[in-house]
Amino acid sequence: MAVRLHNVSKIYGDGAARTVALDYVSLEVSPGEVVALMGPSGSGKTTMLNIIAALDRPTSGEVYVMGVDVTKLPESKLEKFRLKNVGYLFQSYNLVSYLTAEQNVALPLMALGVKKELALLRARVLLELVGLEGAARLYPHQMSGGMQQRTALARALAANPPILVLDEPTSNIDLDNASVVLGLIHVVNRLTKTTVFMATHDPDVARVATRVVYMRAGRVYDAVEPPRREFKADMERAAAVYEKLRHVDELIGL
Amino acid sequence: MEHVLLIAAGDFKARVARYVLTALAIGVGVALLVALVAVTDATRDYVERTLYKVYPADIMLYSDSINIPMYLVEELRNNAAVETAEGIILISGATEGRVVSVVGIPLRDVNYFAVDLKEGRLPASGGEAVVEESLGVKPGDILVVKVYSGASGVERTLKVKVVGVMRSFLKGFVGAFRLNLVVVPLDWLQGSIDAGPFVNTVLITVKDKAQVQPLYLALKETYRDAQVYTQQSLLDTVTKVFTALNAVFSVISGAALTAAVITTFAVMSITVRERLREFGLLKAMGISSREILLSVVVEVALIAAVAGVAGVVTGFLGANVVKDVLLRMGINFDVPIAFRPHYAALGMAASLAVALIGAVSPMYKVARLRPLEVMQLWR
Ligand SMILES: Nc1ncnc2c1ncn2[C@@H]1O[C@H](COP(=O)(O)OP(=O)(O)OP(=O)(O)O)[C@@H](O)[C@H]1O
Ligand SMILES: [Mg+2]
Repeated sequence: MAVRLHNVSKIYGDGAARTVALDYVSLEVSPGEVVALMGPSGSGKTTMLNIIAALDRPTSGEVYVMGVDVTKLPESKLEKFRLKNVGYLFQSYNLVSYLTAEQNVALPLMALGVKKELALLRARVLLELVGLEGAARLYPHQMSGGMQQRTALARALAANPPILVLDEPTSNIDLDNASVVLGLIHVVNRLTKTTVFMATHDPDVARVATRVVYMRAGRVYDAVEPPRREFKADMERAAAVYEKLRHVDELIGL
Repeated sequence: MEHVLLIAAGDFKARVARYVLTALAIGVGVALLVALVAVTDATRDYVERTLYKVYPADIMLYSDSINIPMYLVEELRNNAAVETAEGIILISGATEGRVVSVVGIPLRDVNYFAVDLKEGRLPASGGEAVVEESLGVKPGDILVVKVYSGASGVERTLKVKVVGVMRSFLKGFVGAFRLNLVVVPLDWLQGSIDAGPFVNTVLITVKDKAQVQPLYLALKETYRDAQVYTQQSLLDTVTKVFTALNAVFSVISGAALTAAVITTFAVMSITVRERLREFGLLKAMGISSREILLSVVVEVALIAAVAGVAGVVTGFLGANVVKDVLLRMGINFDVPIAFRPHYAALGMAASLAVALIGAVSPMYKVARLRPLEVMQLWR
């Protein structure tokens, strides 16, 4: 199992302000699955993603990520764990404003101890993967929202995490960029067997999913397996870039 | 650690204006501190050195009236512990409304007092005098001085011919220290005021500084009418004055440094609050609180270093500039201000302390960050 939630509850506040965001949720996800979390606003999607990404702790229950019960890890160990295992993409505001695109992407690698030059080298190949090879030296404010989100996706992929957690990755960007982001999610999943969790309101986005999970009032309902629509993506180009990445990774020893 | 520096450098560039202002606030406090310490040190040094010129003695015996017989001076010279003993008369007088100090020195020993001649020559016979430049007279002038101290206690009028002018010991930089010396031959002075073979001051140097204290105690015991000072006790008085001066200066620079602490605190608090979102993002990426904190510490240390260096340099140069301004304004504050390594150490330490004290509580906030608490802030 890539991720296993067992009787996970998350309760915010108490008394009149008490909100049950997750209500005894259990879920098992195998490596390589692309899980689309759908459901109305306030149904608990973000809460669930935060808990899977080990950014938040459940009120009760067990959360296994790559075989490790993250509820038992101290905060200091969680930081390193996230760095190696989870790539996170927020709805917006994903980039550090005073760093260039390539620096943003290189940052998690450098935090893993990769030398700056090598980290930047890998960052530039990742930017090529997301089609931004020309934007490496731009600052976030010099990029469109779509470009920013693609840069953020490259950053989420920086340390080659086995799990990607994406909270409404396309809701704030235009259709063209949204389709590029979805294509990337698709090819990354296909080429690297990365497990993907993705919250979305958009039924169209669910096209890249292998599994759709509906949420309502903190509970999950597995949908009937959706027909996997072959996504039109340039697999060849992506495969070529991944070949480059493999060379860089040999240098880095990642 | 490269990524910590990348974060620190990036934020520093993004907020450079406010960080420079913070460094400025700290730098002003440091500059004031260094300037005041440099001025106090220089002044104290100068006064101490000059004091030894005025009283070139380890021990001074002084009596209110001229009643120390010369043969006692002779006897002191024979004392095994004594290197030199010089009997002189030191009385005050007035000339044209100004207070002067008349000093009678044995002619053969005039050089003992390291008189710094500006023009003219030393006195060679009775009635000739060397006077301090502060009196504003020239060689050849006649000076009429009224003195009150004498064996009979009546007023006497001395008429002396100025043959030389000497530089002022203290260059007159503190009004109260203005001595207006009039140096005349001792035997002539004794004759002129009917003092007989007596003096009122004996300046003693010892062979070995360790003998100062025993000799001082012995003299106190022997000459109960006279006051006995050691050079050290005079210096102690000077030190007391400067300790008081230091306290005043400490309050002034303390206030400036406190203002710098408050500025640092305000700037860092605002900055940390502004950066919470960014910190949450960094944490979600896997950057630890410890590393984020470290990047803030690097920035604070950089601010402190810049402020420290700038403060030390401007403080020291500033002290000299103030000195020049005072000199140009006619205030005779001609004291050499020397740079000492410990000013740099003091300035840097003060700067670092101010920056860290000011930043400690905002940094504590950073250290305690939990990613979700932060993320909640931008829901
Ligand atoms: N920090 C918090 N304090 C209190 N209540 C919270 C907090 N975070 C979330 N909630 C509540 O928990 C519930 C689930 O919120 P969550 O953000 O997970 O929903 P969501 O499905 O992501 O919604 P959306 O589609 O609008 O993003 C909501 O009722 C929300 O108000
Ligand atoms: Mg949400």
